[in-house]
Amino acid sequence: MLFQTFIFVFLFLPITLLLYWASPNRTYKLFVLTVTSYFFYGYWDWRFCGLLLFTSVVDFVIGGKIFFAATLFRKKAWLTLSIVSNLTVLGFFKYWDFFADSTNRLLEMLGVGASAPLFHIILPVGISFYTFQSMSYTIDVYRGRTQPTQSILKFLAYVSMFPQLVMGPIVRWTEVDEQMDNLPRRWDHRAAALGASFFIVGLFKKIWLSDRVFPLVDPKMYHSLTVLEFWPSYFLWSFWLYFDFSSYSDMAVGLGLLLGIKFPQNFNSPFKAESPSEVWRRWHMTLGRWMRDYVFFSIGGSKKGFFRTLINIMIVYFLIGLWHGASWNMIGFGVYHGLALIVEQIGRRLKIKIPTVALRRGLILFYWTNTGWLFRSSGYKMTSGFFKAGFGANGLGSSFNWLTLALLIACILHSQLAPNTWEWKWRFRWWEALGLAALFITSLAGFFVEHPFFYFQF
Amino acid sequence: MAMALNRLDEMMPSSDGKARAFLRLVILLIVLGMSGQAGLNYLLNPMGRWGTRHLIPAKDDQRYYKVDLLAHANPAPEILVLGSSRSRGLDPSYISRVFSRPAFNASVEAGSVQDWLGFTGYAVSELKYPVRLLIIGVDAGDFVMHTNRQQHPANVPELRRQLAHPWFDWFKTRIYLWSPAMTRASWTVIKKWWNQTNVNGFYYDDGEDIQRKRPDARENWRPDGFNPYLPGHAASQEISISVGIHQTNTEVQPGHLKDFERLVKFAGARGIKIVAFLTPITPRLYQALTQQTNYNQTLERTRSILRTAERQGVIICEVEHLPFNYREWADPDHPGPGSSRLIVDTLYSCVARGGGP
Repeated sequence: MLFQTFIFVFLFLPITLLLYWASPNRTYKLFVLTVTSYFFYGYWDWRFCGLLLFTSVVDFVIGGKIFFAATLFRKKAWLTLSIVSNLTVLGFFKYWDFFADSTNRLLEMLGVGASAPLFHIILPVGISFYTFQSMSYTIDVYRGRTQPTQSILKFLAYVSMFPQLVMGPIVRWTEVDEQMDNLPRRWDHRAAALGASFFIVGLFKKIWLSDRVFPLVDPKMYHSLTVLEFWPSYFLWSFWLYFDFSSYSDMAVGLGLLLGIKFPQNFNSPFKAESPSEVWRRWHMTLGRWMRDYVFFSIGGSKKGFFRTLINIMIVYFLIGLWHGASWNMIGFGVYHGLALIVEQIGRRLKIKIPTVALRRGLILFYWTNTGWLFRSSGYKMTSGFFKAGFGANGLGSSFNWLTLALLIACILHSQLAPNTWEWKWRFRWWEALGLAALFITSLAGFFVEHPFFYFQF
Repeated sequence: MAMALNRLDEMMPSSDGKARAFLRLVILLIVLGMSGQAGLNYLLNPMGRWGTRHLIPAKDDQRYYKVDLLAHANPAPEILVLGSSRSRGLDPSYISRVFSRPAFNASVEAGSVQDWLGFTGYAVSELKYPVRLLIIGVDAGDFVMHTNRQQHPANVPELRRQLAHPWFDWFKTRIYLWSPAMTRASWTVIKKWWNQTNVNGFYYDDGEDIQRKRPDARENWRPDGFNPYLPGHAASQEISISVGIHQTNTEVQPGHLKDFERLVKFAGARGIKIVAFLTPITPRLYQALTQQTNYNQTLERTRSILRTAERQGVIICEVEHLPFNYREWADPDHPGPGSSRLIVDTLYSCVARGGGP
């Protein structure tokens, strides 16, 4: 079930909110939240609900075992079991076919006949998000940052909460533990007013910017474009990704608020960043933080010397790439970002500074645009075909696509100057209500064609 | 992190009363806006979906005509033809001659399994017609294509009542009151009305004789539900359009399958025979479909469903390889009169082998 559908907006959400807020106490609320979230998830494929349940129950049990384990060795053993269990599930469903296929190709090249079986597994939606979320709980319990919960219901609700289940933000237990204990008993008008605003703004961005405007100017056949046609389209595509992710992030926060739960910010105008590391503090912020806290710091962070720091950065971004998808493209994506951050670290050490803000942000735009293309391209042939066009394989051309150019300029101005949804100063006046209603009604047009969010595939 | 979460607190309205008033206003404006849009589309009914006839719709849903014609059929039909536009060419008068029983063609454009259920239920349960035989033209995609909610029997009350989940279907079809295509069509109707041009014939707007260009108009249907496609008919399709229609998934839709089983049971319980055939297409279209889509996979799934139905008493009749004269076909999907007669003759042989209707 996608957020931008009639079923979700006019049936699922009202019924869920009604049941949730009609629940007399916290336990009933968590029960409603869990059941509706499993229904939401099962709407894609009910069989994967079992997987979600398995992951949650294993980590719930192990969380308790870690806390009550008498020795550090035992704590470590239980934590290892949790990590192995989560990564096995993730590895099998997400990576098995990729690694098996890559191994087979390698063996074929070496003239060895053995072949690993391919299962052609359907990737369960949101698996990368919820396994990371669940795993963070056991790690935090191990590190003594939190105590394990006694309520399995609360833990099931935490892992499965439908607003962020399939595309983040990756919420940590410590961020919602207290909130879930103190759920407002009655419908919270203040949170709901803000939540509805976030949701509608996100919905509008998704329907009109991500799904409608960008496909209009997307030439699709990039390899046949001239230079003048290629580059505006090339840059514009990264804005498609930008608005798609931004829209989901807004909608998730809005839905959380409608349930009286505050989710962390996941998107903070990444094109205002002035360095690659800052981009990762602004784009998919919760993933960046997760990797920093649970991987980067675990392998030594920046405390083991400069060279080791660079290696650690590369390890983290390699894993970020792999997290995004089981393909060489995504590994390329991770290595690309790792290299960018290494270059940044070296530049910082050598005290090299790019002189103006505009230049720094321009470079960031280019840096991120290339990322978008690693997402989009299906392989080396496609990428090389595109770049041949970009560097003149079909000539310079004599005219721009003016619509593309105008849209690109508008997007650049927006990304650089406009405040993001978290920076808006809502007044909650009548004209804002009118504006929101207009955005909502015009967004209904997009409910008839389903365009999944780009990050769904992860 | 806590800072970011606190930021949300700072962004919230200053008081509960203000938030309540704001939320109420947003909801009220949304309800008003949506009601206005839906009301306009319902009243203008530019695509003939809702049964409102304040203006002549620019495009019609044939289900309304068929229901109306079926209700007034005389003599009461004992044979019903069901299917999509591909079965539209089966002439009930010819069927009546061959089978010696009165027939009615209840096939409709974009007909689906739900239409088969709807028309059969309506004829048998409500009109109490002594139906003895259902002739079903099954298209390859009938069990795998997503339900076409724009042209759906749930729009028509008489048919909706026969469906398994009438209210759910009703909800899913009424959603189209807010569809952009519907609103655009309504807007066109308003513009035409404003400019005082003929609203009738939105799709054939060149100022010529509208009726001549609207072969689907009410008055062009025979009382037995017959109105075949002819060469040059507005619905004639290019190969590319047919291919486009078939670019679909190959997963069988469980809802369609259940509805088909329901129909087989319904017919079986009343002693009504069913003869089903896979609707033929031209070899050229077949070639294009197999090259450009997963048509063979779809076809195989449909055949397998029909084989299962055969075990439950449904007569399956092969007509795909008959010696058709493709030059008389309206287009690659729609058989001409001679070919349709050939199909009827073959169906008769199949039914006769199965003991007759």
